[in-house]
Amino acid sequence: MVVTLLCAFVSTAVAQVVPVAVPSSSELAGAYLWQCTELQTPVGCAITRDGLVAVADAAGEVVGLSAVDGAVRWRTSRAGDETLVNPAGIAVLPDGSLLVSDARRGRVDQFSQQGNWIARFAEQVALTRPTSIAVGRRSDGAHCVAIVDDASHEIVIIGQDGIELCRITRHHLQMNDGSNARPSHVAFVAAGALAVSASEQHQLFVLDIANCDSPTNAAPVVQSSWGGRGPFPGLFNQPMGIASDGAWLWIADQFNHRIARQSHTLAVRGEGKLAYGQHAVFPRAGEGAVHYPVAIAVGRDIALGAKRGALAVACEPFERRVQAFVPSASEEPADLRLILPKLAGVQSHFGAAATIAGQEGNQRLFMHDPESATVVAFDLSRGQPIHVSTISGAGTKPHESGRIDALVALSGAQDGPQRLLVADGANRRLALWELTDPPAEVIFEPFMAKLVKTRSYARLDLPADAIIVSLALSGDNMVLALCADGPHIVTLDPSLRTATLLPITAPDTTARAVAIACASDGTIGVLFDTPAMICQYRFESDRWKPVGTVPLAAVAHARNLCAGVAGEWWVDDDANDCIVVVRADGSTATIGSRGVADGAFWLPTACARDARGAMYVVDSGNHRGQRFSSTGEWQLTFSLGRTYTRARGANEVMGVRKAPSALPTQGTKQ
Amino acid sequence: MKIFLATIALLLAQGSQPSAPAPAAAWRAVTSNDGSWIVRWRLIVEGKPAEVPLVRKRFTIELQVESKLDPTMRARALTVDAQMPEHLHGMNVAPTVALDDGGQGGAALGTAQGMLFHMSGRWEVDIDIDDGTTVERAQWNIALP
Repeated sequence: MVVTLLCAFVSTAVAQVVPVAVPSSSELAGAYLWQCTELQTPVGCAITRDGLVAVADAAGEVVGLSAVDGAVRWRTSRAGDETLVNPAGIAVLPDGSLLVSDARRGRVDQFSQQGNWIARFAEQVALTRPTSIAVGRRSDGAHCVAIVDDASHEIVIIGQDGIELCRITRHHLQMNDGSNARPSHVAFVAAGALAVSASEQHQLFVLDIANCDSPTNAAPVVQSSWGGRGPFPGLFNQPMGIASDGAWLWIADQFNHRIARQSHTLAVRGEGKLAYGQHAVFPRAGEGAVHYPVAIAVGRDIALGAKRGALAVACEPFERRVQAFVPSASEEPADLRLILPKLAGVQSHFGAAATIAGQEGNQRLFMHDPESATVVAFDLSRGQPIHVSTISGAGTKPHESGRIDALVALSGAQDGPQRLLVADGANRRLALWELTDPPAEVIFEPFMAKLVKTRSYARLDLPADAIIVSLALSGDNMVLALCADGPHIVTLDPSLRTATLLPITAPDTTARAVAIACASDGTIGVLFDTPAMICQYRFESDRWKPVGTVPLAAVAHARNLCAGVAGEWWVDDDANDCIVVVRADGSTATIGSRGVADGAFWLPTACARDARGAMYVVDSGNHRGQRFSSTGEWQLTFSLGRTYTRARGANEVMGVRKAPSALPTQGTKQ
Repeated sequence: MKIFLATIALLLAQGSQPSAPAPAAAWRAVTSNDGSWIVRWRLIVEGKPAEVPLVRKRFTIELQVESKLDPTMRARALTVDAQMPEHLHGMNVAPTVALDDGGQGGAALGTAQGMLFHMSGRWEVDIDIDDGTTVERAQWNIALP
């Protein structure tokens, strides 16, 4: 009897531990179909019923892909007589034609499904920086278009005839704490119901726009709102693009690296645990792995060759690709096993800012992690960057960060404490941190930094809604903060008590000011993205006097700027994946090329110079940093917890996951 | 052995009697992190000045905030919060903060009522002082047994 019971128990126990193949939430949400990598910066997508996937590429193109296999059918960079500059959103009109917003030109253009420009849309409607577009129906059944104007943070509702109906302002998007959210993307979920993502607030809204029918009557009603920052289902980390297939709302949950699928029916709005995509854990991983998705399109009755079916497409500009999958319409099982994003702590995700504090032998490098809104500190005193602290974290309290846009180390007095200034665009403030003296031995010091003070952008007299995009330290230890709107430079004392806002003369182009740096002779360089150029200034009595412009013909899209030790400028080109060095005599050199090998880059976004003139480059797309000598020779590659001082080829970096012929090659040309 | 057990019993008895007479807690002072303010503070626990709060008991922080740079400068607003840096969390409650600007002279007086440390360990108390231009932090640690 005992033996029988024991056998039964063992049998039951064994039966309980036998692994059972349980589909992941990603597999339940959709099945991978194809991906297209022949793109530069895809930020918007739409699907027509005729089987066209149209992509807005922010690098200046609209691209048509086959819904069957992702093959490029056509691409265009023209809108009539004009050149597309910064396509940001795309949507399909009922007749199958396409609406494309151009954020830099402030226009919306209509194209045929063959990529031919038809006309400018809604010419009479004032748009400054149109981005996301959605086409849907009002509650009376009439078609309409919703466009996000990223400059005014409004949603403009336009009739299909191009006549403006009304504007929904951010004041209609109220958070629980009384603050107002800023619309990021829009999608119609039903007639008269508009979903809005608010990326900075990690929130979604569904608005009833029945009462938005004239410029004097914009009274949307918030039907529901949900979200919050985090990895669990129902939470988001900077949700961007949204799309509805009639049954579900699909959300490009950017920093959670997934496409969330949630309900938008009134009773259970925001419910749903399925999410397509596993966070890509090595560079260029795709085919189901998703990396920083920013836009999504879904359709249910799409021509896919000889048959029709459902299709979803996600834009991943970080990987320069779009990825298609067959979206699931099924309900999720009750015993669903969730796979949460691997974002429990700080990972080697590095954003577009870097700075170095201290004197030789006592230096620290600071970079930042966008996902967790933290600053990571590396000790440089031992020759290799060693991660010694993590500063701040996601939130709205004074010592927390929302979105880190810029960093600069304040050297201060020779023996004084090191300080670090952080520009937080989501919380709209500067935060000044003080760092403890380095200990004799290199240890991880979680309390290295203490918050000294903050100063809000509202107290800097910036233009309305403007943010600081870059920080630099002048030769006389004043903080220079670059505001892209205007553009302006704010000059602050190191204690942030005084601030002076002055405009600078900008080139007469659509280029935006993106970075500021100070050369050793006191010249200030301001970098403009595309067409790329460095405008140089010197301060004279009460103004910034232009003292020359350095055109950067070799740079496709300038991202960041650093002053070299010999008077040269180092420019991060995140379109060509290289560093362009502009020497004082006007000659240029190029460091690196697209790839994953040591010495190569994928989206280089920032650089910082140490006391010896070596340059640390943030290689964002490869989740690492690299150090180069002042003359451009590769020296080492590092990330959190590891450093490589022997140059590795692409295969070694990738762990030989793919055929060597499929890998990009390393290249350094002078 | 008996002495040892007696000592243990005495220690336990002391630990279980937090309301035993405690020395009157003096005001303590800290300089804000950029040197602009002197913040004097003391804790009020169960209606009396105390050296440390009690776990899971509401308490009050009384504050005096005075400028080190300009005697006429006043704090316009105060924010009081606390966090456990080792545990990466703060309090589960939001205190009610009141500020009296102190009139024409002297320090501004503030109180933070409803503070609650819900677990033992090292707490960092953060006082953020808004002078209308910047918000400067003063902070100190409390080790809660």
